[in-house]
Amino acid sequence: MEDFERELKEDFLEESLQLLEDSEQAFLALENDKDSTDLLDQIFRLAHNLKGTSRAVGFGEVAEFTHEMENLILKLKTGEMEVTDFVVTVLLECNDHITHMIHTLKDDIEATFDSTEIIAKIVGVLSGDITGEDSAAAEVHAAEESFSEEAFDEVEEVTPAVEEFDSVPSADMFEESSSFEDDFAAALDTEEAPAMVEDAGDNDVEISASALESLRELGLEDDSILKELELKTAPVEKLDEGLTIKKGEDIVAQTKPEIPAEVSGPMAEVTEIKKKPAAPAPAANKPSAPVKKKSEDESIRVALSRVEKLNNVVGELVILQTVLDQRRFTAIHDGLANKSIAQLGKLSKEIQEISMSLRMVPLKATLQKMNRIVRDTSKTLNKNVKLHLVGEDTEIDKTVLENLSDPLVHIVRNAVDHGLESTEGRIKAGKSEVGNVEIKAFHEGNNLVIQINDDGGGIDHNVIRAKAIEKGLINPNKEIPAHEMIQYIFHPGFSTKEQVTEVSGRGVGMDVVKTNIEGMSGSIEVRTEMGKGSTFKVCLPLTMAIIDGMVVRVGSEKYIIPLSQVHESLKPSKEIINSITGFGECLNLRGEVLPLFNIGKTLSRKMDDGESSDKIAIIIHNSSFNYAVLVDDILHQQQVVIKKLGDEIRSRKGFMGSSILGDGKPSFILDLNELYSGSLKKNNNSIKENVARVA
Amino acid sequence: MSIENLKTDGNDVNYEVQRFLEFSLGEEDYAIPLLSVREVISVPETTPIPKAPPHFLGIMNLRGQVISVVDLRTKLKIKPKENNHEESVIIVDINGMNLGIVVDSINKVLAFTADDVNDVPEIESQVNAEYIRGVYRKEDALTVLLDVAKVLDLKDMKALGGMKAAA
Repeated sequence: MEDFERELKEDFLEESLQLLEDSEQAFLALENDKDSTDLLDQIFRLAHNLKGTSRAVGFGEVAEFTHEMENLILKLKTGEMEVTDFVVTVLLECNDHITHMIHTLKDDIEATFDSTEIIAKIVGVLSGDITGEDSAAAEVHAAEESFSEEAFDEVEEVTPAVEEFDSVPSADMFEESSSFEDDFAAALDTEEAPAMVEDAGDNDVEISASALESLRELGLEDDSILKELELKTAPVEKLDEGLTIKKGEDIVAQTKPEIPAEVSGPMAEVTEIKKKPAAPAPAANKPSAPVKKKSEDESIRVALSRVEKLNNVVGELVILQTVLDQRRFTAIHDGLANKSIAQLGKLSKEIQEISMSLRMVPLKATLQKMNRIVRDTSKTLNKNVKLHLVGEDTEIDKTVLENLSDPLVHIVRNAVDHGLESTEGRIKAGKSEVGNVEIKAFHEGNNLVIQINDDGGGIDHNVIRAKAIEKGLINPNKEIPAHEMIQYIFHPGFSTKEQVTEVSGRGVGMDVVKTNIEGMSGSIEVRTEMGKGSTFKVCLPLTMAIIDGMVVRVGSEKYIIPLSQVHESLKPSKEIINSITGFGECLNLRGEVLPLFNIGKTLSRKMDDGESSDKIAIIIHNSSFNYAVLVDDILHQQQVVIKKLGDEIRSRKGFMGSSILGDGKPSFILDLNELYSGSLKKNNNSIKENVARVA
Repeated sequence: MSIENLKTDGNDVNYEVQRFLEFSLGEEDYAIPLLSVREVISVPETTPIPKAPPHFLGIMNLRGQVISVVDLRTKLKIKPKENNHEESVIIVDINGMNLGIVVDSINKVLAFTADDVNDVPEIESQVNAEYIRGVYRKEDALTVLLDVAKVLDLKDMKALGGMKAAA
């Protein structure tokens, strides 16, 4: 195959996924609004578009199948057939089938497919042979089958009959699930946390054109990276007839006078080059408030690696600026130079903020996928469920978003399955027949919060308690407040299959959800009120590129500990340090005995001479055990930009990455949990014994 | 990498000119393919890597990118030159991976065809042979053509990483 042909095909595959996402949303909307001609028009357009392009680039099989699907849509459009839930289900299946084909083609551009089964179904629907009455239940089971294939196996009560339905969508979903399992394994294995960041390397982020423009305004246009970014705008120009680009030019032109003297030189050059016959700017085109058109028109696709490169360079710019700033009053006595440095400082901070914001993408697409999840799950369970989405435009780092989808699917599905009562149950409880699930996303400080609320029956802490005692997780005599008790659903070992049904609720694989989210330095908690419903609150850092770090000193070296791992820090007095022969030191802190590790010993670094009581103990709360780590000193806390480590170091345990500190030297970011996971496992039993002995 | 094509197996003589960057480790001359060289810098400040093998000097900040720096002399057990002011770091790109290597001095760029390259002389107890891809001889001077990836066992390291990911 020729290169350009391959390129064409690859472009098509990228584009078509977007089309398929759009059409899925349209199908779901159609189900709720069956008479909407607008929707049907839109769907027809999408299908036609897909058919045309796939044929043009030479994916005959995709085109043929889409043609069959189009026939069905055409009948709906002309009113020859009525839109029923069943028809929508078939359409969704078709959509899944195409998505499956596209994904397969992405991996193997020469792949071929067998669509006869699903085409037969379409033909059956067209001829009226299949009406859905008899097969609707089976359909749903088939869809359900795909769920149970996934690592989330909470919906195991599916009838065995589903095995027969080896239909295409389930295969498709299975593929997704296997990739999920991989991620999942990666997330479980905390050693791979940096790898997750690295995985993102091949991905694209959508960057809003206005953010790029802001960068340009700041005079960064002579940077080769920005040029690279800009290069990518070409396809967009084609797509929306240059609207975005032209708009940008106007912005550049208008803001020019405000740009400080040092940068206006190159800027002027670029403005001139760019002065093509630009369309007159609409009146509303102010730089601060670009006209809000369709969001996809205003974004361009850029490889994440380029954005990372930009972030690197900008980070360096800020460091250099800091050095200049520190010398400002001692070494530079020129008033204008001093003033310029101050201005430069402001600008570089702003550039940094913008370049960081380039990684941010709205949650919309991920949240909209939940529509389908809720639909399919509720159909299987014969529940009437309405999903409410709030805050779809909330933005989050691209890499976080990618890892968020799977845990979210699990929580949402659990909410529908176990959270909400059956329709009869709801009527009995005096609630409306329709169950409500709400996904609410918002920013809180430096975090993104996603709340999943349901108005179901809530979780009974007594049941959880009974289970926890049965599993030996807690001491039967110990009093635990109800809200703490409920968090035990996240406890590993709490979830096994038979408990799902018994515990009338959650607990299946929730530990996995928790591990996943903690892998992203996030947290999850659940609140519940009996009879009123439950709320899962997921807190995630806005970005995985920046973390709050605690800079500690070990001998003459500096290391960074993620603040999210630090529970507290203290200077231990001699009295609370206990030494146990054969085990090492322990910290007796307010009645809790913690193993005390010396970080110098762990890393084979030289620490200051002196007793343990001269040093600082950092207390870490781990999901399975708490412990303390001794460092020489805590220097300060700061936000650090995580830099990837090369392959040659990445395989080493305990390093999350590195970061360049204010002095321009790189420091390692430690993952203490990973660093001590081995010692903790080994010592877990002996610690417990020792706890008994000391206490 | 171009070094792979250095010697053609058949009778065809490869006249294509290859370029190598020659540098010194101690008193010996070595060279690596010029195309794998990204840039040459003076020896930077490095942050030591805990528990790394001794030839890992540390990590450095190359304009915002964090790169590991290795000392080939330690790895090859070559004694560094004394009173040397020409120490440099070559930033190399090995299969997409950036790495800094410390050398005693940068000498020159060599250009030759594969024909000028001799095989590694068969000497018993030749431990280093595996990462020597050939020897370039010009008059009396010998330059050893190095395969940096092999010297540092990078393949092993990558395989290790891959295994972990799969596990």
